[in-house]
Amino acid sequence: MNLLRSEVIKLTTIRSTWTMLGIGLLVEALFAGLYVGLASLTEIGPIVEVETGTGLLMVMMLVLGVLAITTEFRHGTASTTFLAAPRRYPVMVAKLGVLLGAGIFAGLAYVAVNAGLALPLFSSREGSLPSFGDIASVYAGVVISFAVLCAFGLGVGAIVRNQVGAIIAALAFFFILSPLPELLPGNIGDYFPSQAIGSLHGLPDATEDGLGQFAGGLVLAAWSLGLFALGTLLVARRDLNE
Amino acid sequence: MPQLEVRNLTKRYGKTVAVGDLSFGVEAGRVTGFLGPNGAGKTTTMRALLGLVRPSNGEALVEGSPPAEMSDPLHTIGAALEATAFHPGRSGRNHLRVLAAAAGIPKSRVEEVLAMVELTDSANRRVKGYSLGMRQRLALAAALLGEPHILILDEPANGLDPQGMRWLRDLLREQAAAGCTVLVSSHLLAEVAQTADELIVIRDGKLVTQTTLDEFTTGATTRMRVRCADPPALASALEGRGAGVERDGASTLLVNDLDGQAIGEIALTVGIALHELAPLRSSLEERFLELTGEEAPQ
Repeated sequence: MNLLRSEVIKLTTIRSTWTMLGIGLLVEALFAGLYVGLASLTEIGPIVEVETGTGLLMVMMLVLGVLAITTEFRHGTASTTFLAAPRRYPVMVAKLGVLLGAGIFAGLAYVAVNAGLALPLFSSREGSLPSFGDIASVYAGVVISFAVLCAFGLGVGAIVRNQVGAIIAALAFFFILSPLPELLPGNIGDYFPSQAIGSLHGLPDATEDGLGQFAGGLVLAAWSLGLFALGTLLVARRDLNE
Repeated sequence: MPQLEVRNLTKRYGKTVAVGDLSFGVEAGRVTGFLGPNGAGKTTTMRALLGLVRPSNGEALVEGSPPAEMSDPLHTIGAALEATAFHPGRSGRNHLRVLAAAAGIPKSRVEEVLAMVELTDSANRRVKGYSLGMRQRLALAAALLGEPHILILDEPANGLDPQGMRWLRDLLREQAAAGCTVLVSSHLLAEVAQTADELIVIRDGKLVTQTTLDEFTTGATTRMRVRCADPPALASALEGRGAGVERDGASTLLVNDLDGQAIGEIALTVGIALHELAPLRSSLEERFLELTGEEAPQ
């Protein structure tokens, strides 16, 4: 409990956390406006519209997770952290718990902007909105995915340790490497994070010929948990010289 | 039982041996200076005692147990390692709150230590705007947070102004007088000579000496400067009695290993008039440099 409280203070007392969340939500709102303006030019479905604007927030969640551990090494606060709590596994678990909470918080903020701004904008046009149930399942998928992305970032950060390197590694893997297996024959691509997150968000092109929402969520969670476990093992064994 | 102890501690990084087979104990109730030139292995040893660095061989013990097994770490041991180990974007107060929360220490204690190090007025500023001295004081505040009975401070005097130095000295003396164990590292003897009761000197990761400050002072080599009527003759007479003699100019000898009385008596027996006979006590700093194998600055 003490460790959770300590991690909450850590996360909330640096500006970058709030800046990233703010920019992510701002861009989400801009996208909503953009889609209303350009909707006639696109052939996207209504579900995709509802999910629109998660892109930058997903990046922010990954980075938030990466920063939660790499700043400790970069600025040498890992030493004081592990002096206060010499057992390193519980510290990492506390970080995971707080980041999951942060992801859910960001997800709910996304939902608030989406429901409060994007949906009224969309419904002001001709055509109909997706059903309440469809919208709710997208929202649930987004909230869960944000939490899991934070964990994913934490895992990569703990493994790579260098801040810039970890951010590049997390983003490059997630957005550049992991979509590649989709090009392979068969359905191997469904088991990589980028496709799995599409499934989790309930996007039609991911769920129709791939995994369902629940299975997509499990795949993403498995990746994040695996990375977190490996990262935690490495952090627990490493010497802290800085 | 020593409060802090390293036994045959060895730490290798690749092929580099940072600490090699180092053993010593640190007792409570006194200030122990941990001395050595830069790169001697002081920081690595301290980090091993704090459980941050895993020994390659041997062990580092806090109250007889490995540091990772401390049940209440911040109340046991307080450490100030590097004055730069803060997130630059977090305020001084929040830095302490993070640590206090992790150890279940009440917020009021955060305010107490801030007042102790006189940072209350700057506590809401982000650390990136702090001077080195302020960071050093914040690091000390963090070390004191849990009212620990063991303090490990790595070069705490770096960046402190003269008032800060005096404050630090008084603090360390108070802590030791209250029965705490205080281990303070420095690469400058002068910084700890006024505070330390005991000295541990290491070099190249190995123990050079562990001694009390008093012994260290009296152990400083004494040489005699001798001016006399016939230096070469006196030199050979002194050397005949096992003394080390150096010439210093035409009429002066520098004599090791014999005291003034012996030199005077030898001069009398060989019938050479002494013009001057004076002890040259090497300063503490010279002795320290002698031990750590560094040349005295010219």
